Amino acid sequence: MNSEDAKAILLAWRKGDLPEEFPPLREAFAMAESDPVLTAWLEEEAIFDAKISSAVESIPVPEGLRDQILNAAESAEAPAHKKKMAPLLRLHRLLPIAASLLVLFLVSFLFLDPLTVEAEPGLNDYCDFVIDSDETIFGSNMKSENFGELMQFLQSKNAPTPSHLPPLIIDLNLVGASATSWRGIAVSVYELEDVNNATIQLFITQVISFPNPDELPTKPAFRKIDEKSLVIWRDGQHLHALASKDGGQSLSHYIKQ
Amino acid sequence: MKCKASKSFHQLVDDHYQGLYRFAYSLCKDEHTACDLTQQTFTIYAQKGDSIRDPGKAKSWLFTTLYREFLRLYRRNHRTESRDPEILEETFHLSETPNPDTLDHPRVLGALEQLEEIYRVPLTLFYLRSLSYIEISEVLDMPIGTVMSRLSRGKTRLKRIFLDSTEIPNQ
Repeated sequence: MNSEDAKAILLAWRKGDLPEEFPPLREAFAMAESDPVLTAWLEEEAIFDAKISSAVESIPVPEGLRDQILNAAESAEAPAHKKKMAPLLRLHRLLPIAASLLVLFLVSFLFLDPLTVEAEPGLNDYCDFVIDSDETIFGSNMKSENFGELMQFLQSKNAPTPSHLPPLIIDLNLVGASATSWRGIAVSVYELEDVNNATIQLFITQVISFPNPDELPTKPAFRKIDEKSLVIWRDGQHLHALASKDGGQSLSHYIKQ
Repeated sequence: MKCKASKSFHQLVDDHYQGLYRFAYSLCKDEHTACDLTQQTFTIYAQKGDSIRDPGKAKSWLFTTLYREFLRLYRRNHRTESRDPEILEETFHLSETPNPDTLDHPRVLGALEQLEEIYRVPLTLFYLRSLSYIEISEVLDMPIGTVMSRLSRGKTRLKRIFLDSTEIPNQ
């Protein structure tokens, strides 16, 4: 680690706070302690930080807010007389619903052809959709390099919009976004470009759309469909899929196979 | 549930309502909205606080909830309001470029507002000094390495904003 590397890391340092969870900061701080030039620079940074912190902490808090919060919380409390019903007493209320469901099940079993029922949406099906969409979505519905603008555009289409893009692709340039759908479920597509001008698309949909969300990969994983590759992973409530116009070749620059 | 009437709920409010309000204000720049967001956050805690798995993480939970409520409100407002480009442009020009030697909160918030959201939110939490690095990473749901990188880049950009503001008068 040289002095410039240390400075870049120490910019994130807050006086009196050295998290054990991020060893590079400790290393950079140790380096600064033994380097007078870095020590002086760090002192100046700390003065700058203190000025900003003090300004942010001087935002006046309205008088009465505390009481307002306590009163609102008090009135949100469930009425005391609404006591929980004993499980056995609740059971008789559920019986008519259970009977109706049973009849409905029997009727559907007798009269509906099971072969006409569409298969549950699965990950393989979604991967096929991503690979096919990669060929059919040509250009973006909205061209912009601004994430906020694209997010607003996708929100206007009721497409899923996480508050930030995954760190994995932070170095790629945003070009635009499209909204599409898979089995009637909204899908956001961010179009990105890498330094070699290769086009990469990030597909985002809700994990709740899948029958077994807990079984979705939580780390980026390659999948091969018809000689083409895509990368897929779950991030919180969203399923991310990366595809590239070159069939996945560009993706290997960002993710190890 | 009596948790809100208990000493611990009062204590939680006393400990965090100011930090939460300031975070809310820095996000929305409006006193009434910031009050509503802070109050709403504690109301949700009063209703659902019992189901928080780790009570030691109540502070992170409160900041996370407030941030989500803000995003929800922001999305709702941006769906219903017609956005006039001229008004938006005017709003952007309203944020002054501040001089670091005469810092007060409107000037600092004006400078922070010029940053992209990915830098502005972690940097605001960093400067509020209410949360540790790990808690910031929990609130923003991102790895600590990403938080550190956003803080570093965000601070570089923030300093550039201050630098530009002091250079402009000399040009």
